[in-house]
Amino acid sequence: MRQILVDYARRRDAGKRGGGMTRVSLSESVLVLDEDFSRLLMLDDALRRLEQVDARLCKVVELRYFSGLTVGETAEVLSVSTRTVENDWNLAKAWLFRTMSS
Amino acid sequence: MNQELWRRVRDVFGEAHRLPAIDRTAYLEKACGGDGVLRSEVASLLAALEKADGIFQPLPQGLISTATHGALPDRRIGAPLGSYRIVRQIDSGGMGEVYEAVRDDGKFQRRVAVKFVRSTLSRGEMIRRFEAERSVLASLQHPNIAQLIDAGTDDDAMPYLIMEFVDGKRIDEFCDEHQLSITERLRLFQVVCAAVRFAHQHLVVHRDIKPGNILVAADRTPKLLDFGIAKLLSEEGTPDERTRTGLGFMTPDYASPEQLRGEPATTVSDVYALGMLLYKLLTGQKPYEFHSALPFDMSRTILDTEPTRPSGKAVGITVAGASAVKIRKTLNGDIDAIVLMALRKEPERRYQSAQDFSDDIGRYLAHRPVAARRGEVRYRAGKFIRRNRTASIAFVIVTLALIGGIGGVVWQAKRAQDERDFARLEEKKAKRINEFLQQMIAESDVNWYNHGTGPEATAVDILNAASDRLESNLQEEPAVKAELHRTIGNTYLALGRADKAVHHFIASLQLRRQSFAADNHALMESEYYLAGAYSHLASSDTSAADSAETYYKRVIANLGRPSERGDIYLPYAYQDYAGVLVREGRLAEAESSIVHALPLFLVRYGEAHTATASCYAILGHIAEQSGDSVRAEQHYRRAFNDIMTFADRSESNVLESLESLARCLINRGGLDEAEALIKECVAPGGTLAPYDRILLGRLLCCKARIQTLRGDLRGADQTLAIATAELSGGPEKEIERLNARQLIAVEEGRVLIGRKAYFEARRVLLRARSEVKGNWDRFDRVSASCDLLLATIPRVGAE
Repeated sequence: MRQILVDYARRRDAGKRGGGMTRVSLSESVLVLDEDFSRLLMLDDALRRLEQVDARLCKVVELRYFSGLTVGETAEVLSVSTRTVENDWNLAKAWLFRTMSS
Repeated sequence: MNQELWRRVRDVFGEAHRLPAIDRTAYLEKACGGDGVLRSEVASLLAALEKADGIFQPLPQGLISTATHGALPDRRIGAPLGSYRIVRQIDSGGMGEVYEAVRDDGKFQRRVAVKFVRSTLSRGEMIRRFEAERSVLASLQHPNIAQLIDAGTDDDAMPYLIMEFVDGKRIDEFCDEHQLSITERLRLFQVVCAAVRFAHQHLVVHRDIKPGNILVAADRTPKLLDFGIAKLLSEEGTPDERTRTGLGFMTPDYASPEQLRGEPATTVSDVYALGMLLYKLLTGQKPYEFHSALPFDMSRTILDTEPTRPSGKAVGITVAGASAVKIRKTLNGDIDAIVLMALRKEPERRYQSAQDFSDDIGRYLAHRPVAARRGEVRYRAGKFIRRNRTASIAFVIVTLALIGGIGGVVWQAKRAQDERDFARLEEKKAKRINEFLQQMIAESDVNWYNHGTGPEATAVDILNAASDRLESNLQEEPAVKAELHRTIGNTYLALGRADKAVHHFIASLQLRRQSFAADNHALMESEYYLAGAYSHLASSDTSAADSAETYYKRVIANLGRPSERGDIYLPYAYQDYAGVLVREGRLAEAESSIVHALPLFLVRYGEAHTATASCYAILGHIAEQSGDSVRAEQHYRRAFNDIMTFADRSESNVLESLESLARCLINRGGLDEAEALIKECVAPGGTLAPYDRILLGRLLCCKARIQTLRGDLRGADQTLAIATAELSGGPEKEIERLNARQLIAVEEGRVLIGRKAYFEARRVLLRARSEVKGNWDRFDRVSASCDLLLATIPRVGAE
């Protein structure tokens, strides 16, 4: 899912240069801001680096954020405790924020 | 940052971030001791965490494509339809929508039910069938059958049926509301049987008898709805065929085992459904314990387990003046036997007609001995015979595999340098092997009957016995013993027990090492087999993958020498090695290995051969995994086309290559072509080997996916039910079977998302997702699909 969203964002990004559009409409009901795309690309970049440091943290983010799993579900899928998922989730959050704001 | 430091950061952070901010400094001081790097890293991360909340803003849902199909506003209400006017919607189900309509020609009003039908069939085909069946159905005039009045197509060319309007209650609800006694229920049921019998005499099978299709009017007249409709809509068959499975529009819980298996529905399938109905009327429950409401779980239960006898169920009905204990006592014995006879899995052992069923109930009501109980002893004997039939099939499998092994010995003899001498030696060896096998089979035979090994005694059990025996025998004949180890190993492999195969191949290799030089061909052959067995285990065991790699490399190194040029094991070793590499995601190496194999195969076999087709299939795999779907499709197409040109193609090859191609086509949007190919290649009926049934199950997942993408969720349901039935039996944990089940679950999840049954969808997908263990590209595909589908499920509330 992360891949699909990111690929999409990247394609938008590439297509947008030259044009001066600030908003893109994806479906009739939802408008997606350009900021969403750039945020997504930045996040993807940071996740890629996080994966080098700790692949499990990256997986937790993908499952929690991109696939929308709960802590309990993520724990089940990764065969770890919920406490571990919580720890990983918070550590990932902190790590990503630090990386993205530096 | 090194691994060790990171691990400590993780541990300390895990504890620290749970503490109130004020206590953190003290904790860090204590936990980090003098490690300044660790402390400052954790402190920096803790500070970042305070501000990090904004980084996971909700994903824009518009980004996420949903596979849902929205319902359109109902334009039909109030609209005219021929001489009728539609008043309201009564029901909406898998078959389509049902409306109440009135005919109002000034003089009198007539109420009718209008059924717009939904089907996977094309409109044209549906209309053709309607025309063909209309007169038959219209001739079904019986007081207990809702009359078909007319049929036609509306302005959108949507076919509809006009039927007698029945004002009544579902039969099960009616019985409870009026608190009918067991006897009253049985008599009402007999009226239903009579109506079914009438239809059968007119050569119409209902195929979807269930409480919802039987309404009882206030005067206690039951009416059966939808006679013959299931057939009109079923996917398979043509109007000329009287009876075909009508599974498409059934809920699997009332479908007969033969229908679940995709076999034709007959009048006896209706008898089964009547048995299910009676069960419900007498117990308020279903005879099977379903663990979920998912079609695939349900059909598995129906096919694999025996129903509980009615008196063994908790009483779920209301009968005036009768306690639960009394009801159970009434059901115990004759009624149990009658109901269970109707529910037998083998059609030929059920009541052969609705009349027979009804007659036996009549005997019970008249306090005469019932036929169902007379049959009991014979039925048990029948089960015994069945069990032994399984046993003999097992013998055949084992024997064939073993004799195949001996064939191999003789074939090897032909390629020996000193052909004559070697042949004589081999002949002697073959004779000894034969003796051993005969003895082994004879002994298993005796054990079988003496110890009543039971239905779970399988080919594997027999093989285990042979394996044990071999360990302590033939010490003085290492060559014979090595051959037997290899043969038994092969048989284990064929039965999906690679772990056992490895043991025997190693034993064989060790024995051969004692008597042959390191570069001997027989040794290499053993190594090749051993590598193959290891590669089977590789998906769940990384050390096995390493072993497979080691042995393949040795075989390739040895056979790659000029003196061995042209040895047929070499390209196979390259090819199989590529398979291992693909699993490990080492795509470039895999491709290079295939590039070595292909020319060798081409020299040996010419253009189109199973071996070259397999090479293209692996290349397709590599391309697919590298994300190059265009090339993947090309390779898969080539593999499939090659296989289809062979006269002696095996089902396995066809199914496997077709599944890859279809999957690729679907991903690229080529639904029509994928659908056409599947339809062309897969005909219902016939029998397949166990492994081929797994492959068919996977292919059916492709079909279900196409159906889901087209919004035909019921169709997808039925396809998945059939897929599940194909996977029944055989070892549960077998990795291929497990994977196929996961694929079914993925498609089931897709269907549930289509139905907006998000809770169930999450459950199914998560379960499939958490079963993914080990490293295998097929598992990766499952987890990727699960994650993707999970992401399309709208979030409910924040955690």
